[in-house]
Amino acid sequence: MSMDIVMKSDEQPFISAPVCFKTFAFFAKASAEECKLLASGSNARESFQQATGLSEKITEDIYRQIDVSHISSMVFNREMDGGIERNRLGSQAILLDENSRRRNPQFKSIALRSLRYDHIDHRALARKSPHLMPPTYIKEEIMDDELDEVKEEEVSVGEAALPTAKVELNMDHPEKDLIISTSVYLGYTRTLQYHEIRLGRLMKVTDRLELTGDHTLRDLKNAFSCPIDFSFSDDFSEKKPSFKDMAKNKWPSSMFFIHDTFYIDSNTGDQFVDPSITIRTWAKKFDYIGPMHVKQMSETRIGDLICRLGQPYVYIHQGVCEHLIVFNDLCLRDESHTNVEFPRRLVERNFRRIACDTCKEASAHWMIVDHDNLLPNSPGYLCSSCYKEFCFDVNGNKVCQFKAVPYCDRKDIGDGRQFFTELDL
Amino acid sequence: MASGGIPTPFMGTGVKQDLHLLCNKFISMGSNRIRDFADVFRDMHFETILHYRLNPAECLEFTEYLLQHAAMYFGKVNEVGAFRAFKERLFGVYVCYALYNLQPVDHVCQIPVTAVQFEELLEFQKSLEVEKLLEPIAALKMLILKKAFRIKVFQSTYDPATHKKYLAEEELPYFNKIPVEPFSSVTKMLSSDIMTELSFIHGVYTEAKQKLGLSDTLTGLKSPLHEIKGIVEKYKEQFESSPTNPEISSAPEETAGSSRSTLRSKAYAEGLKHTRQRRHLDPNMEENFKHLTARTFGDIAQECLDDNDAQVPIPIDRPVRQRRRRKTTTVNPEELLDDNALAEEVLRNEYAARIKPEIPEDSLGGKVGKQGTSGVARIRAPKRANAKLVEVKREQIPQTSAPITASQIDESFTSPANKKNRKSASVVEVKPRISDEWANKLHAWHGQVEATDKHLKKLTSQIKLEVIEDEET
Repeated sequence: MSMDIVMKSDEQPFISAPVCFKTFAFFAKASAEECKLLASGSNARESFQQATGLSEKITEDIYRQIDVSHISSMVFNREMDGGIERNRLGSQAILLDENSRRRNPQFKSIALRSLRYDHIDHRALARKSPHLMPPTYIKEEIMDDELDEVKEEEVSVGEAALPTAKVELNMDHPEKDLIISTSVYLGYTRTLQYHEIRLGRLMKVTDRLELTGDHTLRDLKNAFSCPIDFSFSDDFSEKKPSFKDMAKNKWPSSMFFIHDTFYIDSNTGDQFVDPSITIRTWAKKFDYIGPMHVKQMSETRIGDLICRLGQPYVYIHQGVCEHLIVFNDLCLRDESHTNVEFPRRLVERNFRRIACDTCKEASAHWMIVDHDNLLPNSPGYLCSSCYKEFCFDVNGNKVCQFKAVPYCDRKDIGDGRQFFTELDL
Repeated sequence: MASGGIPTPFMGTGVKQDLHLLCNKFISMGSNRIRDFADVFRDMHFETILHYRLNPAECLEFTEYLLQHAAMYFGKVNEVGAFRAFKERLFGVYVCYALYNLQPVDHVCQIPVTAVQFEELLEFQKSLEVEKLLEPIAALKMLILKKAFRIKVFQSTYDPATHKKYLAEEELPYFNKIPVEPFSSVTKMLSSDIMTELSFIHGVYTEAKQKLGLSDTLTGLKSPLHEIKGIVEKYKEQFESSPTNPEISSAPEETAGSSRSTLRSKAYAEGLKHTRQRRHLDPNMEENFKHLTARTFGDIAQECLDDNDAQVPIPIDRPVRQRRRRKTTTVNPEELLDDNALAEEVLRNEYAARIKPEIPEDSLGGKVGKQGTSGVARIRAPKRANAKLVEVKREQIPQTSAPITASQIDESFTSPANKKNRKSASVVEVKPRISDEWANKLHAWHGQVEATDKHLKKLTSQIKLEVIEDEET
């Protein structure tokens, strides 16, 4: 593993030992099967009675004793119940002291910003356990689930719902039910300077995805997008842009580099050029790097990989844009993932958009360059309607000499359809 | 904006302490029932541990962190590496059951456990079945049925984004950290692959040399691994002996300065000194002249005086006691022989003494006046002895000369009887013999001639004694 040698992975606190995803999936499934044997059936009392051979009365007595519903959290009135004096827990004392320093309830300290689940919609992480709910609330929850389903369609965020059917575990291919949490970081086209690295810009997570082990690396590539893929490099002030002119279709070559292997996508058309040739040629000069291999992205499943959790891997596209790819966590599919479609996107990054320089309302879709004092800025950003009305006369002729390039805002990346409709592609 | 430089604690700070406190309280109760655990849980108000979390992400992550640390209690081994007690593992089951059910209904987090932890939990369930503890078994069944456990790869999280600021977790006061063994890193290095490879290469090299017939040069070759091991062992021995050295060094210092017995032993342990100041020297120089027989002279003189005192007054006063003297005279030859031996010794000592005093005369040279003074100095030590002897002589001379001569002459002429003549003769003969001999002995330093003359006189006196004895028979 040449990447491990360069990065010194064993010495980093945020990088784990190598993990074989398939092996972990197998053992996790075996544990799940054993759980089924231990607690089979829909009722815990029945399984307990079958396992221990006790009578029904004794079983009921035992379960009455272990009922802990009376210790569930109650409404706690801080003013009436004494507050800190009554609470003896150390964690609560620290929390209350920390909350007293907040400027407002929405304030986030450094510790809160460094949480794993920051910027993730909590509804995507929430799960419901039917065994915890009293029988009287089942109907109400069903109604809530229906509303949630409607919301899911609007928000397009997968949410854990009440399980309607059991998921059958297949031991033949255990990696199919493996869920892999992946983080995609902000991409850069140049080497960052010292102050940029120091500010932690490399550590900005733009996408957090959940994929199954049956997905391929190509699916991972298609699950997220970068604004450079939607960029144009020609002047379209006198002609209409098309899909072919998009950078994504013009230069389709891209690759993943994981440990000592380049995963390329050669099924993208005639314009494919292997991007790993240059790097492999350079690496041959150095003996300590070791041999490098090339494989197809579409033929490699994520469940077949042997990776380190927390180690940044590289995704390179457009020849210059580099994104860090990190595998964060592994877990097994269960009932909470019943209505979830994978790959699932969790992070809703709130990027600052670029608004139109004229109307200040819509996002910019055109970038005007090389203009003769047409706009106060160069490049100037205009929305579609302002572009037509400001840069062209009644007859459709250009007002002056300028170049217009379609622009895709970073905020609109997740919703690519809007960008395409605006451009009338 | 910055938080004003105030350090922000980790969001899970205090969780370990709370769980540890709850565990200790439950263990101190000495009961395995879940009702007793519920009482402790309620007394500590542990249900409020999830309160006041305003941020949903914070709430979810805190709950996951709390459940993870609660699940560590039913593991076989604790954080330090020691085996957990049965009660602690039972507490782990109860606390997981309680905290999992404490969560809100619509935001439930699963208990993250590793595969190893899950296996240990299943084994613990079997031990619970053996001991027939039904309540924890029922609780476990309930948790498993609710799918409360989520299998993880590792216990810790690996995410570069969360390491922007490296947050250190709190340290529990009652938890013992794993003690660092001395030389642990060195032993790891020695057992590493590089060292084994090095030793293998060395072995191949030595074998090749042996095959080439260069065995003589191998005597100096040593494996670097062995050298390193030797050095490590040496430092280990020094490290092991170093804590004992200050004890040894401190012990005599403390004891020497503190207790009286050590001071006494120290004082008596030192050797005695025999040097003296010049002014404290013996003025008569007795110590310097120990070789001389001054004391022996004195002793002998005293013995003679005792004998003379015993002999002199008796013959004058009582004639009957004179007969007893005759009996005593039979014993005299033995005494005389002893005296002769003593005399010989005295003579020998005198000869030895003469040699040593001659040395200062030679050193002094030809000065006549100083010779006189040196003579006085030489005579000082024997002078004392002479003084004693002179006193004896003074006492003896008037007694022996005056009464003997007058009485002998008168008696010899007036009394014709033989018996009377014998008595007077014996008395007269005995006294002059002793006096002459001792007088001669005292003047032995005049030379050998005088000594020989004395010897002749002794012999003549013996002849006379023999003649007298023959006449008596």
